[in-house]
Amino acid sequence: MNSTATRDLLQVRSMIAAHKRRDLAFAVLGFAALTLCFVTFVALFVDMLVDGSSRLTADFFTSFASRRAGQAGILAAWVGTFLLMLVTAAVAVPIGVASGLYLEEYAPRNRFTAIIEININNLAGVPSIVYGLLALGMFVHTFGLGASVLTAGMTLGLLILPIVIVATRESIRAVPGMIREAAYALGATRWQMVRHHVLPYSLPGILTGVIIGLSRAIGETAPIVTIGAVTFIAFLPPAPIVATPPFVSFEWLLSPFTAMPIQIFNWTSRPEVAFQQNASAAALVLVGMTLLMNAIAIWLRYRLRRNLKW
Amino acid sequence: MASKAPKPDLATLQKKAEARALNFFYGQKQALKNITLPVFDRRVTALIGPSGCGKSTFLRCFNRMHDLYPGNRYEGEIRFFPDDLNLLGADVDPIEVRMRLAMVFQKPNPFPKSIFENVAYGLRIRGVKQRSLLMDKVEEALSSAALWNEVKDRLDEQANNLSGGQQQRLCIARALASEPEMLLFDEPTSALDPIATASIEELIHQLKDKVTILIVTHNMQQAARVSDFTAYMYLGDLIEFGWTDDVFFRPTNKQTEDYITGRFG
Amino acid sequence: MNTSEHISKQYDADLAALRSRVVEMGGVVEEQFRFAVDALSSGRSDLAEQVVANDRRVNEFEVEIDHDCAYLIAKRQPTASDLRMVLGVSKMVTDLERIGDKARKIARLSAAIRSSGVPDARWLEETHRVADLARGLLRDALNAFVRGELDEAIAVIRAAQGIGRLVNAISGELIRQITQNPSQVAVLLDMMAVTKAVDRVADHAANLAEHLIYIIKGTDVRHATLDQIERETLQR
Repeated sequence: MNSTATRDLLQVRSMIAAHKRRDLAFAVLGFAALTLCFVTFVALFVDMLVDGSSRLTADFFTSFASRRAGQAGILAAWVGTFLLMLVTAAVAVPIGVASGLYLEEYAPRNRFTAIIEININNLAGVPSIVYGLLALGMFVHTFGLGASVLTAGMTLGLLILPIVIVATRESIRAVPGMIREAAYALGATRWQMVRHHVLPYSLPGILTGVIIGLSRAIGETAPIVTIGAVTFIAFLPPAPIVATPPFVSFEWLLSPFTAMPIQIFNWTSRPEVAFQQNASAAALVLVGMTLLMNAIAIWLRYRLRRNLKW
Repeated sequence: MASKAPKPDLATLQKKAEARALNFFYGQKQALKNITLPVFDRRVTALIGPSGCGKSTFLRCFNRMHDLYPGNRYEGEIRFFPDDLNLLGADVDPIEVRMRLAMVFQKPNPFPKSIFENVAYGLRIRGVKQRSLLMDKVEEALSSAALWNEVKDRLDEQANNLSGGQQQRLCIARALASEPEMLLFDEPTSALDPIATASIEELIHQLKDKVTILIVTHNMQQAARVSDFTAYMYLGDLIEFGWTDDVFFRPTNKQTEDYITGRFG
Repeated sequence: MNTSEHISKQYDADLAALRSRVVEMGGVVEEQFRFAVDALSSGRSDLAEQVVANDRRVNEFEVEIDHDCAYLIAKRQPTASDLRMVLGVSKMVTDLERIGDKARKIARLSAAIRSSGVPDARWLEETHRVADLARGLLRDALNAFVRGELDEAIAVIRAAQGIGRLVNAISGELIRQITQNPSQVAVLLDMMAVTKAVDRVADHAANLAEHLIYIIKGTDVRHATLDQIERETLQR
């Protein structure tokens, strides 16, 4: 090997070494950022656990709120939150999926649909209190639905609608064009194509979007406080199944209610240490509920996507 | 004194379809220019030409795939025989057209469903529900596509688990199940290895007894191997059409000659 | 012949190499034939021996070029004019090799004829003249191949028929002599064989021209009459 070639090779080697140093520098920086996030989260969680774990008994889940911290529980709150999520999903899923589907598969590409698209994206950024004010004016006063499960559910449903629409559109767009063409080429109509292919194949993505939306809705406090949800309640909404025909009842929809975030907020604003412990315990339960929903989302996505390879 | 094997006079051959003065536009851009081309009944016609010559565009006119996207426009007609229907007619439903002419695509595109459901799909959308009838048709189509023996014991498995070549034969079976009058192949082997390609070519050879085939290919040797007729297209024009033997042995047009001998791309 | 270039320069180079090998072989064969006839005229036995020895080179050419053709077909899958070029070349080398065989035959016979004393100086003169004509045809056919000239190819085929008539006259005379001089039958038969060999060289030159028409036009004129050939080549 002659000396010029040797010199060039040495140059290349020192250049590679310099590039690798920069590589390492970024890895260290990224790891530091990640550690910060993780430590913060762990600190918060441990703090809640230390404060609230002593209150996490069976009674806590089966008792109503009480003036005495030791006897207070979250029965009304978790049942309320559960019902609220049912209504929210019932509102957001059909409307959101239908809208997303229409925009992707049916709507012509013109100025009108472009404006709608921009609006939907903007709606996702509107502060939740604004939804609360809207609901107070429209659902509570104009329609006279009161501070009910229905009102709150519809409000949260509207709140997460943009999330569901965007998720629906994204997952519909992920269905390859050649699958659509394959169906069309066999003589399928647009609805047959959507019903047999687009919807089933985009279902995992849509479900994920819905659950992300619900995870957001479950922690929302501002809009439901705005519409006037009760902070102290000692009864459950009427049961949906009754002894007399037709055996189902929707009275619960119009019942007053409370929800987990409100309960937590209420307890936090009390001066007594015991109530602070209740708040921590309830917060743990709320975090648990959110994590559970996310776990379900991951599981569903895994199960449904197994056969979709493209 | 062309090829020594006697070939029938073109005028005596039965046509399955014929493009007449066909123009096609993507928006303002004209992609096909005044194409007149016969497709003979139960023969294989290959469309060759460099990328962008309009061969796939032409193929996709036959089953009105261009109707799926806005801004496309046809002029002229494609007559379809024996009923002398204009496939491009404004009063002709593209769904009906697609039920009569099936298509096989460039990349194998099975539905992410079971093997059985893939093949049965064309029948299902035609309203066939009876399980035994579906089963018979699925077996028949898979046999015609030379796939039955390989998959008969695992019809409920996912189609995506098949190999690339098997997937493409599945797509052919899917196209065959509803007994189309004509099969459109859009570069059916471009994503396959040579062995899988050979099996698809053999299949095309067997199928031409039953169905008229129009195939786009960028592999000239493939056109030479599988087709009876070859059409050479360039920049939206039909340059030469004739018996494949003649086009590949002594083309009449210099442009065709240059293309098939590898003198320009 | 298609003269524009392939996308693959190596393909162009392979085809060009094939063609120049054929021309090279043609040159060697033509020389062999010339030396053989010279050996006969001059009676130089060293020339005759050289021709016999060199025939091995001609055979090697045939084998090598045929191998190149097979190799090109396997590697490039030539079509249309390229395919006809390769197939045509493969046939041409067969005819060239046959001409080489005839040259060797003439060289061998020349020794026998000379040793018996030439019975007829006129025969020698006429045979030499016809052989020069045949050699001219061979050269014309090779030139037509180099230039890709259809008209020259047709001219070769026509001229070969004229040589056939000259040869018939010579062999008619030889037959007459055989009936008159039974004692010299052996050498006269050798002379007849030489005359026939010269005729065959002209035929092979005509074959070369026919292969050239096949290469250029894609029409097979091997068993056609001259009129048919002209009609066919004028088309298209």
